[in-house]
Amino acid sequence: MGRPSQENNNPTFSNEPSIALEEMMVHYGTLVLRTAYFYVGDQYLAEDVSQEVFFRVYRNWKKFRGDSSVKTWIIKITINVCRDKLKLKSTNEKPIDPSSINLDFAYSLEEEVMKKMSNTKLLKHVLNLPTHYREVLYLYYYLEFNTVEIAKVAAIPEGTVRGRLVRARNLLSQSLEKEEHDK
Amino acid sequence: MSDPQKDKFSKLKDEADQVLFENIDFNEEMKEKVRARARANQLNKRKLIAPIGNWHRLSAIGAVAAVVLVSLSTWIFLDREKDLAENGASEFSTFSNDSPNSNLTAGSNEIKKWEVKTQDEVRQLLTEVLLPNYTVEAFQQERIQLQGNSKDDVDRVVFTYVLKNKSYIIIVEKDEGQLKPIGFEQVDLNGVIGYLNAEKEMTELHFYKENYHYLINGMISQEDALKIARSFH
Repeated sequence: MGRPSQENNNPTFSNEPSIALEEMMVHYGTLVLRTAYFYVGDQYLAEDVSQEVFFRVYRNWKKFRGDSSVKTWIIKITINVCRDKLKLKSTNEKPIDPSSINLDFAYSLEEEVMKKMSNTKLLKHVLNLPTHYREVLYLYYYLEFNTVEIAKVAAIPEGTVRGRLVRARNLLSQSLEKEEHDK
Repeated sequence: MSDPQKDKFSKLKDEADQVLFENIDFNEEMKEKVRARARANQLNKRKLIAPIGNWHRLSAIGAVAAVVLVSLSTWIFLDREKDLAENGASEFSTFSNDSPNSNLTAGSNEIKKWEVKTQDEVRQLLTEVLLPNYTVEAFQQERIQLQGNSKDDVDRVVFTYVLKNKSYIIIVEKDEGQLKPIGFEQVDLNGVIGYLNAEKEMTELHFYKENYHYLINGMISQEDALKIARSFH
């Protein structure tokens, strides 16, 4: 069975942009910051991104039509700002390729985080996957989007999302089995 | 019925919160920066509305004057309206233009970034790194960006190449962890192990040498990525 949409759990926000901004920063501030960190791999850049995201949310709040949940909308803005900040081109004609925006930050994380990473069961394997598989796993398991929402957020067809999820899980399983076998 | 795959990987969120996102929280200081920017945006809008308010008043006065003085000359009225319309349009276009994404107020801890024009400049700052000698056919180098605490402490170089709607990047960055990717094909790059993944039009290739991580990533073929990697010197 599919996962329910975020819209069922969607909090409502004031129509007044300045009030809605405060409410949304409380609800989604950390989620936006962590998503930005996941994509750009740099804490300071992630802070820049998150501030820019909420400024854009504030500026465009009155134009938000509710075609998607607020969370989906905000995360989509976050991913777009990450791409802007990383200054890579993308087009509307082709599927946006996440691997072109993620700079494999896992390899330049602080030493302390790297040490902790080695003790994780799943995360270290996820971060070693190709970037477009990391992305769908993050959007599905961490942000708890369903495949329709992931398609909207990542601007790729839903079929592609499903395919990547299947492949990502398979790769993750293989990686876990290999580690188990090597012990 | 629960999704068995979800159960198997459900601890991923917990691990991410505990390890990757530890201390990554949207705090009051960040909220205040957003508020300050929103306030500044409101202030700018009010400053721009005032001249437009004046324009409306002038336009109304001009129309009344034109009606009262209609017998004087029809062409003077038309010329004034045209003049007011042109001035108004330029004000509106200035007002309605979305502000271009401006640089955010730099936090005191922001990583510095700057651009250079040539590889030679990169070489002067980073004498020990390898740099690519091959550019994929028809692509143009668009930008070389350096990142770090200062020009004496550069952590990363990003080369960007574009061809119409396609692009690829090359990243050279300090990396002492050398955590190797899993799920990638291993390739030989003149005696150095490379880690290659290619899917449809996208290729990603990593290699490590002497505490540096090299990444080639973008809309190029495997063959081109390998040529780039083997051209580093």
